Amino acid sequence: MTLTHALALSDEVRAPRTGWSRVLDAARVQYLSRAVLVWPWAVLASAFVINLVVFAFIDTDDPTTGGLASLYVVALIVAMQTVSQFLPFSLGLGVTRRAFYAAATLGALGQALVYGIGLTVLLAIEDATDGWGLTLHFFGVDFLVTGDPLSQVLVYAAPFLLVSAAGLLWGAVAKRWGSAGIFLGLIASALLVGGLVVLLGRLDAWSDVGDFFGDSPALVAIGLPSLVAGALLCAAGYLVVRRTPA
Amino acid sequence: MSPATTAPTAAPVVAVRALSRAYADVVALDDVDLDLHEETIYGLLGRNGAGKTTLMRLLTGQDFATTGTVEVFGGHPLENDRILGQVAFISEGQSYPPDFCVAHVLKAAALLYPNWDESFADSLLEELAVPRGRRVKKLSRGQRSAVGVVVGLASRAPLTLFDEPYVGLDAVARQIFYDRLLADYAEHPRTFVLSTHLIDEVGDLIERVVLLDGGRVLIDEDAEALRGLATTVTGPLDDVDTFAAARQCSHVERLGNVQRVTVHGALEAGDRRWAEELGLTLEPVSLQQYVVRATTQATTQGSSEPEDSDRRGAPEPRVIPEGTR
Repeated sequence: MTLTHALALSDEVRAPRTGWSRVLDAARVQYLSRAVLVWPWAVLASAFVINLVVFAFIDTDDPTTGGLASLYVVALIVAMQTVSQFLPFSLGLGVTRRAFYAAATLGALGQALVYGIGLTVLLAIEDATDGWGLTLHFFGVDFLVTGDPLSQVLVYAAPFLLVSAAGLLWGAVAKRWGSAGIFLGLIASALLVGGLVVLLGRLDAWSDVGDFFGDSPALVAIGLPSLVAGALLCAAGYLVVRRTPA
Repeated sequence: MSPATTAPTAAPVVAVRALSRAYADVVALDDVDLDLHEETIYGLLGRNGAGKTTLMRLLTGQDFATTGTVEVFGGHPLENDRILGQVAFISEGQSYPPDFCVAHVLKAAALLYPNWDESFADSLLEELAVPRGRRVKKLSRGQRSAVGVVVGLASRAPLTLFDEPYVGLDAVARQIFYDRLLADYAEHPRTFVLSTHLIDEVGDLIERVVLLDGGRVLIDEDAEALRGLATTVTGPLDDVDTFAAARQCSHVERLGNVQRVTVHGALEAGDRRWAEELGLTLEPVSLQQYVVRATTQATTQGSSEPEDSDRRGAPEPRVIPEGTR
């Protein structure tokens, strides 16, 4: 070992970025291939076109469709794949589980905002064109419509966050425990939901629940519960990821 | 970075203490203590299942220790941005996102490794003939390994671990890998750990050997010292017996009146003169042979069947009919 080496080293060896800078780098890695950004919109666009064609030939008053749900289904799958594909890859390139998960969450937040704004714009176009000339309610699903753009963005974005968090958790469980984990998770969720249904029945509270979702504005009925549930699922996903071997 | 001239006294790059990793059905690492020092090329050797990959996964925070501690660059690597950003682990089983082409992988490495050298990566890619635009999952086994080699070398990570980097690589590509590693190491000294089965192929490359067997460290020694640690002695039966009497021996082979024995321990100049006087032929045992013998010896001793492994005379002498020699 010579002195020149020592000097060269002190000059050249750069320290890695840490904290949020590292998270941003990890997030950029997850979007290097643009396909993940394109697929949800491509699926939504095809669902939209199919609906346009179908309702152009069917004569109904004020047709409403659930085509918008396709976007959220794709978002769920994309989030699952973020874990299954990028967790092992990122860990292999020296990214911590924490930085990976923070990056995935940040990506979901950013995308949710873009979806919220995008869908709000499309809703405005739908309203302005009298339902694309067909009185079609594709983006304006009635229980989602709020009436003002800001809350509309939030109401579109919040379920996106919820399904993304569910996808991250699902992907993490699959990565850590395999298909057994997935099936046990589904059984546990079913028991949880079933228990809740029974509990609400015993308390005679179903009409109250119905009133709450029926009477509350979309922001309270859809936006808020989605955000809270999403935050819980997101936290659960991190607890699973932080002890997952690569 | 401390001055490199003080390498022997500098704090180790890796300090492993009482490290164990038990899986449901097997103990992959069993109470390992090990130091790796900066600016050294280590050969991590051992049979399949000896614990090489497990050790590397624990050093890089990929897996969790059952007991014991791992320190890398003075801290715990698990979930540590500062440390893991200085560590490149090129695993034979590295998975890549299915959408990713080679260029994506290089871009990701450039984002995550602060000392990434773009032009070095480009020239390696060209030399190893890896198509930049092809999806990684469409690459051949050898080309995938080549991608790992490019990432591992061009990342210039202060601690770089290659877990069987040569799988599927042809002889030319392997030679390119060894040559470029050595040339880059001279210009940018750092710590390399190479796990490999092709011991003699990297024999000139590695400076220190760590041999794992059954999850334990069997040998942790300078490669140079190991090369002189065992010698094959061939000559007349009685003379070889005389020469080898006070030494630890293995691999006794007899052909009529001729005997070949592997003696352990370094030979002094006096020993060599004596061998010459007796008319014995001395041949150094290659690193690969040495490792194979050390491992089989440990295995047979471990299974409490000491015969045919250590002392001379245990195996039956083979009788070769006169005239066939």
